[in-house]
Amino acid sequence: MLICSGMAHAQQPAPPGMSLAEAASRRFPQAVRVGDLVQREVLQPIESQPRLGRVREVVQQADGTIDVVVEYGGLFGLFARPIAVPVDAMVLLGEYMEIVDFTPKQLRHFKTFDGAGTTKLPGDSIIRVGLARPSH
Amino acid sequence: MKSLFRKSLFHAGRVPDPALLDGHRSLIRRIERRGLIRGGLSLGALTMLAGCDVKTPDSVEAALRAVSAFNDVVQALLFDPGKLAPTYPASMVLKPPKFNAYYDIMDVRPVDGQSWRLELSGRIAEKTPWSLQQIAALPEKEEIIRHICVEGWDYIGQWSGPPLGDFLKRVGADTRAKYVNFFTADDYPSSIDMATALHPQTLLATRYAGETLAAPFGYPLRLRTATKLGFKNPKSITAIEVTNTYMPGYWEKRGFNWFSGI
Repeated sequence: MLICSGMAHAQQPAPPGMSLAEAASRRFPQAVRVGDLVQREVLQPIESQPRLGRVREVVQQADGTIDVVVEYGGLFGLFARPIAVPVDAMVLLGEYMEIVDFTPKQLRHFKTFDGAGTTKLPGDSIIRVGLARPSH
Repeated sequence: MKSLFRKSLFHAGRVPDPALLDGHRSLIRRIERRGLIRGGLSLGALTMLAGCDVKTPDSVEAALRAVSAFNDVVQALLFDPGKLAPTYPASMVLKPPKFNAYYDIMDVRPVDGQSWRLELSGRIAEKTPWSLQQIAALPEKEEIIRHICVEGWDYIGQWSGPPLGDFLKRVGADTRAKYVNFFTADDYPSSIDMATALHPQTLLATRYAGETLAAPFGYPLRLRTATKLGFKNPKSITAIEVTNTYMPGYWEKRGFNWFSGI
């Protein structure tokens, strides 16, 4: 019990007043292959680490910003819908990703991704993603 | 029926080589005859003591710490300094590795590699501090091993750097001493037994997957042992001490096992 309580932890989102990009830059972004992100499970950064979805693809917006398209929600893999989450709002957690700057309630209001105005990044592209420590 | 059991999903695909038992029979006998009886008696007494006063957290804590200390002794006895941990192909390496620490990622304080020095103290003949350039000139070894966290997760990592045992011998460390202590830039003291320090898969890692360690993973130098749990691998080491005096590490002070072998 001593051990578990000592390490239990929930990720904190970007501090108030800090932009997503600024917060992401303070999470020591690491180089990662886009192809290594596809199909990764996406978790909610709370102690129980519920699964939010799975990475479908990574796209670049016309303004150069990068979004991770997540098959979000659904039940047992059915009825999930794609949403585009800014990569600066996500972190790497080993073989998982987490969405640290949006709550599930906010994500439910994300519009369904249709690909318009975006370019899909090939699997061998390298992007940089911030880190987080485990939430459990 | 027998063949059905053999094909069961719940049946281990590989079983340990029975010769392992033969190789360690004298050690097992020693543990059985002395350690377990003597330890068991004292543990039993402690359990009864705790049972008399379970409402007093201190007595329960003391009993649990005694059990933990007993576990340390047994694990040290069972540790085979010549036995190698499993290694894995490069295709299984997780890039980048998983970050974990007692602090948040935004609280990582990068170390300046130019001014960084590795201080040496205790039972070491040559105590001149080492620069990063001097460390980089040492012969390196690469290990692709499994990192196992006490929290229950794991990943395959590719670490390289000079073997700690070679380094200790080079600086004239007393390899008969009991402990090797580490002090770090992130205030995470840690200590390991000398047998583990000399194990061929224990590295002073400077690179991961061929790249210089990033700050969150322990730049410029960290311990990477294949035979202990993840929390026994301090990052951003600034000093090494060889000693016969036990020093509990950051998590040991909070109740973790000291030996923590895997």
